[in-house]
Amino acid sequence: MDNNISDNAAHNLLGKVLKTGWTVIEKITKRDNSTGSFFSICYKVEKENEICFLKAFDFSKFFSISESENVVDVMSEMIEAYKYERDLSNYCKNKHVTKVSFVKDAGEEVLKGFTLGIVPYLIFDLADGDVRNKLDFSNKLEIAWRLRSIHNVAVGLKQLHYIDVSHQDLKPSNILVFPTTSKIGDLGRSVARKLDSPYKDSIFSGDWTYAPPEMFYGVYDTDWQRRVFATDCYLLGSLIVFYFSGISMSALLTKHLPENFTWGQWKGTFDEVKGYLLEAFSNATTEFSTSLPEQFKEELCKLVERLCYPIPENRGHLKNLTNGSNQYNLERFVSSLDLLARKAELHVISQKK
Amino acid sequence: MAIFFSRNDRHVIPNFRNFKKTTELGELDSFKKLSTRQIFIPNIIDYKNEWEDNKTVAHAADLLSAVITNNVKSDKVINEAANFILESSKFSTSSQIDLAKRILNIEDAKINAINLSKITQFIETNNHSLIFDKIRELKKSILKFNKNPIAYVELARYYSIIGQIEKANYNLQIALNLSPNNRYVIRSLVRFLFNYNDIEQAHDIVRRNERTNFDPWLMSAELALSTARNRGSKFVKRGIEIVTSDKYHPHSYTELASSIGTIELLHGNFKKSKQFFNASLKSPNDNSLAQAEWASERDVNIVVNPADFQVSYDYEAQSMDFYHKAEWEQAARLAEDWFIDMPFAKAPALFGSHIAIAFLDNNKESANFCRAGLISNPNDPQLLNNLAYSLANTGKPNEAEEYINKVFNNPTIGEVTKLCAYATLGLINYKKGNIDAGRYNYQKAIEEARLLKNAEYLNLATINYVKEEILVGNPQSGDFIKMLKENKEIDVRKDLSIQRKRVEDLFLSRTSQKGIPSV
Repeated sequence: MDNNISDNAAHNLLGKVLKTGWTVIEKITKRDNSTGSFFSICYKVEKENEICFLKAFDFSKFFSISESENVVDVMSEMIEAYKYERDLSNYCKNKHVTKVSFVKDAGEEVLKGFTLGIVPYLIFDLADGDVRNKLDFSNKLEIAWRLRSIHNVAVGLKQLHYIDVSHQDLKPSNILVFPTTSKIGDLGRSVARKLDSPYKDSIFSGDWTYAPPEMFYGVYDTDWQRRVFATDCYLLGSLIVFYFSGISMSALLTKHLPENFTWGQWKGTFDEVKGYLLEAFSNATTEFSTSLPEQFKEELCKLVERLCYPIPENRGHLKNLTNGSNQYNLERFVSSLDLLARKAELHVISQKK
Repeated sequence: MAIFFSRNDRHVIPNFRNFKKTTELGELDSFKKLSTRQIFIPNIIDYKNEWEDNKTVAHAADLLSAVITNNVKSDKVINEAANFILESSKFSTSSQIDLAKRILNIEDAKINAINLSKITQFIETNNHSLIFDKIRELKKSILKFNKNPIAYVELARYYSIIGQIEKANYNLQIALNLSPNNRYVIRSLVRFLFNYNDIEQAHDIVRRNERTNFDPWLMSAELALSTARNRGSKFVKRGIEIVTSDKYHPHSYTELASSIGTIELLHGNFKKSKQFFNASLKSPNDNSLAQAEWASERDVNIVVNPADFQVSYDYEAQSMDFYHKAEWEQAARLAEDWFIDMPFAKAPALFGSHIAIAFLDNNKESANFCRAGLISNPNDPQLLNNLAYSLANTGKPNEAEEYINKVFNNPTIGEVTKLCAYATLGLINYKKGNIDAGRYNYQKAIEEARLLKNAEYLNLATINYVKEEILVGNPQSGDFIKMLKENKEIDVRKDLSIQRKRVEDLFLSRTSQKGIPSV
């Protein structure tokens, strides 16, 4: 993957002043970040004393695709990905979406002396890193921070849902930590009702490592909104699990599911495996609860139970489920998380006094 | 007089084991040979790269999460991440540490299951507290998450082990409501109901379930229950199609083939029966193996050596096999294993008691089997009778009387059990010195057996009666022994012959002590 870097324009932006006025001051990634057939290289850029994050699209990867892939299709896919992320940012602007990291600037740079010198790029606010760099599982004082960060993420997700965008790829590496807040990053895998997402026809467009169980067993709601929002609910719950137990809900579920019933082994239907998934889920939530601070145990367990319920038609807030409103609406979860975060913050303040 | 275990009928009723064991046995696997789902190709390269660029606990755990979820084989990088978590245990959560251990195949010392190896351990009070701990744990889990059908089945199983049948039934019904089509739930419930003689309800549940139309594991249970009820089944034709179709894995139809083989055997269609038993043995489980072993007693053309099959928990088949080979000690040890595997079942307890009394002359061991069996089946008249018999023979006639009274107080007691109980009461009276009452009870038992035309128990009661008469020094004992010796019906029964020989030896030892000439 790192071959021919010297002949790769996307890898050679360091020190350049871009047409948009940004100066490339540091190369962040040592290697390409790959997402399907889409590759990017990351840099720090500076303009008017503001340091931001640049994601350069490595279109030269056309040349290294395998013979079985169609070059035109791959090109088209990469261009669509670039356009979608840029257009989605524009779409979300002025729609009160505050907890999602959007494209700040976008452009194309043409570098001479390279086989393919065109480098399209997107510029974002520079975060301190993703949440994995921030989480310290040994530090109990961090609880307040963790809860506030999860609350920020839930707010961001709710904001996206409000404008009919589903993130689909919520996972620790996509939670960006800023000095005073956390934001959801990487909308590349998201789907939007009103925009032509490259993944609009996918049943699940995110990272399969974090996928909800029904996806593994090939079951999904044919209704777009119910399907994608049920997925986001699960992903949010799984993120809460990661914040406290340090592993994903899918990992916990797999750990407690006898091998016969795991998605790779099971040859039956989702209906047939439901009972066993519930057994694994019950054990998984019990294990999750052991990593929680006593004062938040009950509430957080309830939240995760509802957000990650392995059977999508029963997932979501109980009140919404019983009163017939949108069961995947995150409003009630956001309120609960806000309350928990406030309690934890008050606890920290009282301890400091 | 002890009631002997008899296996005139055996049906392929599903077993009721814990969820873990049942899963390991493959009884809950899909019956489909191939999956129709499209499987994605896992890709964890990004997780590996990020771990290599950021050596933190969170990055390592994120990689391990991806490994376990995607069922990816471990390699150097993954092992390095797992070891990193273990080395940074102060900064890792217990879930991360557990996951790392699992990936590195490090066994945890934590034991959740109740592991008992001996029947005496089972009887001891300590094990009750273990079971109650488990019940408490499950109730707590249900309180927290009440939608898990498996937890209710597990809870029911523990209740049934300690004989709390109503609570067990209640929890099984909840499990059925939560998951009406779940194979584990249905098979467990069916076995439970069969065990406690509600065959009709067991049959109705499995017969009416929509899954029974296509699930071989439920179809086999339906066929077994309809056979037990002497009824025909609409599923026979479909069952034959499944067994002969080659579309199903042999393990998924092993019980089904066994059930069909049983029906054919009972109808005298030996050729067909053999074919189906052979099919059931392509990939047997303990149930189908025990059934084939049972069938081999009825048709010499069905030859089964349980030791030839690598079947887990095949204690019943092995125990029966040793029994037929007259290896009584081994048979008793395996009956004990059989009981420990299925502590709510009466059959292994009664079988163990039978071997202990009839062949090992070990009343203490018989009493242990009965006491263990009575924990789950506290009012079972056969186990109560055998316990009373063993206690009377070990110098505890008063305690024995308490148990035999429970038998007579049971309104559902069968005729054969009743006649055995009369004989046991006779034994108790002899041991208490009430000779006339003892004689009266034995004579009543013999008369009842005669009326029922039950030669086995007529002879057994007579042997037991003669034994007590020898012990009280009846001068006519020699005539009784002569009469027993001439009884050709006893000659053909191994257990009765051994009992008779024991009485003859007793007579000889008594006569040689007193200088009376033997017969």
